[in-house]
Amino acid sequence: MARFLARRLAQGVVIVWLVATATFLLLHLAPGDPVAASLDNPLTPPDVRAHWRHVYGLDRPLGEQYVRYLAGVAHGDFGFSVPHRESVAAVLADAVPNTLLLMGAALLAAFAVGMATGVAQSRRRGALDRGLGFFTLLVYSVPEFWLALMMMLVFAYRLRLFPVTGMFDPVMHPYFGFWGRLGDVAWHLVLPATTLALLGAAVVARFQRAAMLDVAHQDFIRTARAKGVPERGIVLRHQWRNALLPVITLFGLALPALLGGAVFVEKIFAWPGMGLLTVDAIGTRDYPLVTGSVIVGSALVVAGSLLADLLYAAADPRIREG
Amino acid sequence: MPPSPLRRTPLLLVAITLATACRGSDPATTTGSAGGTLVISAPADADVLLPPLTMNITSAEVDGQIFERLAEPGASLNTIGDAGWTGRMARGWTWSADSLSLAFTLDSAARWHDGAPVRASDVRFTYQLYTDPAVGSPLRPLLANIDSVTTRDSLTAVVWFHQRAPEQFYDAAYLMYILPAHLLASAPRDHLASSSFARDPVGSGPYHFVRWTPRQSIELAADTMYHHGRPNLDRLIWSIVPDPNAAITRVMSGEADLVEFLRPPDLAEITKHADLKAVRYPSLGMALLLFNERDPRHAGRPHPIFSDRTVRRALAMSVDRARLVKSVFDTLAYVAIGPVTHALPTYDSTIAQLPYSPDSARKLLDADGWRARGDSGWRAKNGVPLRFSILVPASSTPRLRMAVLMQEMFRAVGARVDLEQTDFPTYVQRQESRQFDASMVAVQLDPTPSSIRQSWSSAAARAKDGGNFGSYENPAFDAMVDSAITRSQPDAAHAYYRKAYAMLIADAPAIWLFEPMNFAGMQRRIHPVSMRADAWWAHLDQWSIPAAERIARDRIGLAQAKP
Repeated sequence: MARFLARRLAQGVVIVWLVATATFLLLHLAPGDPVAASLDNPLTPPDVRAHWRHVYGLDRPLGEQYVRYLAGVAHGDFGFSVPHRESVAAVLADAVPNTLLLMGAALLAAFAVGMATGVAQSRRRGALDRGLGFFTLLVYSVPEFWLALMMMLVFAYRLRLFPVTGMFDPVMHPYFGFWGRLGDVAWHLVLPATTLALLGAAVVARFQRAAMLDVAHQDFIRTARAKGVPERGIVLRHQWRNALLPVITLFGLALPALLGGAVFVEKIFAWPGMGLLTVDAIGTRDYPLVTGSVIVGSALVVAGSLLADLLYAAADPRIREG
Repeated sequence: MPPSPLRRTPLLLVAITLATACRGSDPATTTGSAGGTLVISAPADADVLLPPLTMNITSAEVDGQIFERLAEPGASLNTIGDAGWTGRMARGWTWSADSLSLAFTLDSAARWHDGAPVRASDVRFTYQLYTDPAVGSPLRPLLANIDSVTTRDSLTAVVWFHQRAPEQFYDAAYLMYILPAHLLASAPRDHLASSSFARDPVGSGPYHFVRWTPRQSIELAADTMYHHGRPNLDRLIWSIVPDPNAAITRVMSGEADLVEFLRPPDLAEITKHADLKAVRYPSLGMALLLFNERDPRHAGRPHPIFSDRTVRRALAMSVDRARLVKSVFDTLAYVAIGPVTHALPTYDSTIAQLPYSPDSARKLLDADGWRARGDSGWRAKNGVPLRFSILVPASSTPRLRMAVLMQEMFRAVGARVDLEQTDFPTYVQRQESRQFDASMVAVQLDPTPSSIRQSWSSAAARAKDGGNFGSYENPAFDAMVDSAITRSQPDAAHAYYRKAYAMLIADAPAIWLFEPMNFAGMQRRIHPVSMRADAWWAHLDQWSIPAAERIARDRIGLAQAKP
């Protein structure tokens, strides 16, 4: 197991390096640079632009910039964000926890709801299965941004149940105590997390239902039933557990998918996470921040994949025992 | 009918009740003109809160509350001499007999927010900071006519000029926000943007800094000791909402009080809400179709189409600008008349315009040798087709719509047009490197009409990286602008500027398209005062919320929040 983990970690490092290198090169090949984007003013004289390009090392040859960047990353220095006027590490340190909070909540809700829905559908093969099947297909086919806007329109604007945007109430948050602040963030988390969770749950439910139905006719289920195992025990201990593997595979894939979906959701709900940060950074040609975000994002994806492998091992003794 | 924004969610109501109950009553903030919280739905976070290095609009709005200039212009935005200007940090000023120096007397009551008195040495320090190449302020070249700043005594700063110029006062008073020397003198000049001051600034303006949560919100609170009197509103909060639909929804739901720019569909929506209002304010913004008079494919050569004045005039005459504006904005924009907007004193609606006349445009092109060929009707001259591309930033819907409509209008006179949509950084890069045929440009004009040199003078066309991206050159125009710039009487200067505008319009280096009408959307309880074209936020300290109209968040007062 230790050798397996070490090998996967080494593969992860190579993947992150390749992704970071490709991002660095592609960004530098695109027209524009952070100084051009942030000094978009014809009155800004050439020598001022040249000064800033020199300060941020943008006037050096591409190869030298790349080597300097890699050397910096190796020492934990991801560079300086010109538009944000602070180090990339500081900008990411603000954004990553927010994204992890949003994605963690969304993943948890998506898998809990999705798995429960899939199990329920596989057990009640009538109107409930057809109804939930139609609903999950409907949600799955809806674009993220549209669903986010509708959630905002209905639950924030019309019903006033939740706030429209943001991660906390900008007026009252500083006056709350610890629990008040926690509640405020949770209250603001509901709509963006639910939007992401609904999209995820729709996929999980369809996978879970199919896997449950596949397992339902296996010999060991028939044997358990013949031995008089209660139906609840059959579903939970035999059928569901064996139907977990496809869902665990999905978990590994859900992380990058959620990161992608979070871009729209973060923008619409003004959630200050990595998705929004990265899109803005691409727009301003903020090379270090985009590359830093990609490194963190790909590290999260590698971690998700690793976690899925570990869950596989936990769910399937054949994998655990080699 | 949407519910009233006064209906708050239970959690917020409980929180506000608890917060105000714990603090006790504060008559100063709940009665009279003082009191209230203004939540502004801002499209982007600030970049840095240090005026010499501020680049974006949110930073400028916040800086304008924390810091002060020596004086502020009046609503007419006169920049010639000091007519209409009122003292801000300065109580008054006197000109020297030769007009080569200007002595500003500072208000002795002015204090930095840390309690230190404002001194003339701060003005001298500020000038040194803005003009230090290590700082890299984009405003440095605009201060070129200032030779130095000296101190006569602790409250008198003397600004010395290289030469007499009508806009001397504007240069000295408007371009610099005064900064505290005692807090910034020891900061490394080449890393000011990342200094702690730039994230936690101390100024002398009506509001002091409270907190900045990156990409979430910026909060300021009233300085009760402000030397011009306590600002009316207790608290200003910029709440960052990048998505424009979400920004307007926040105002409609009552979570925010103000969105500074309404798009035409938003304006229609706002009028359906009894508790909201749209407030119009003057604008310095405009858009134009800029022709590149140099060949983007062969640097230094004239453009095969747009170097010909007759073609430019013909193309300008083929565009029905009134119909374009009506189609895209309905009645919410003016047809632009030239490089000037309604808000500037040099605006003159009687300046001669090239008429809309496709027939005349066709005759001009025929006479110039651009003949229609074949069934298609596309024109060509000496084997050069009358075909060009228009560069449009994909982020601008109005410009994109206008470009599509113009494509059809140009087709009607035999010109074939391709649209090139790009993302914004690519658009900027293409424009700066002059790699375009024609470009849909949106500009925010400077309050001073002399800035026309940066966009249209021959010097700016020839300078590497100059701001005259279309490379228009006309010595007669340059001479007219030079004459305007050296006139110290506003009327005489304005007359020359108008003649320069007329020359420019006749030469058609661009087609001036529209000047948007700016509308801010706000809650009815907000009572703004005059909103200036160059900075709608200039008089925010005088905005108010009457005591009878205040809602829960207006009653927080100036109590300190938990750390």
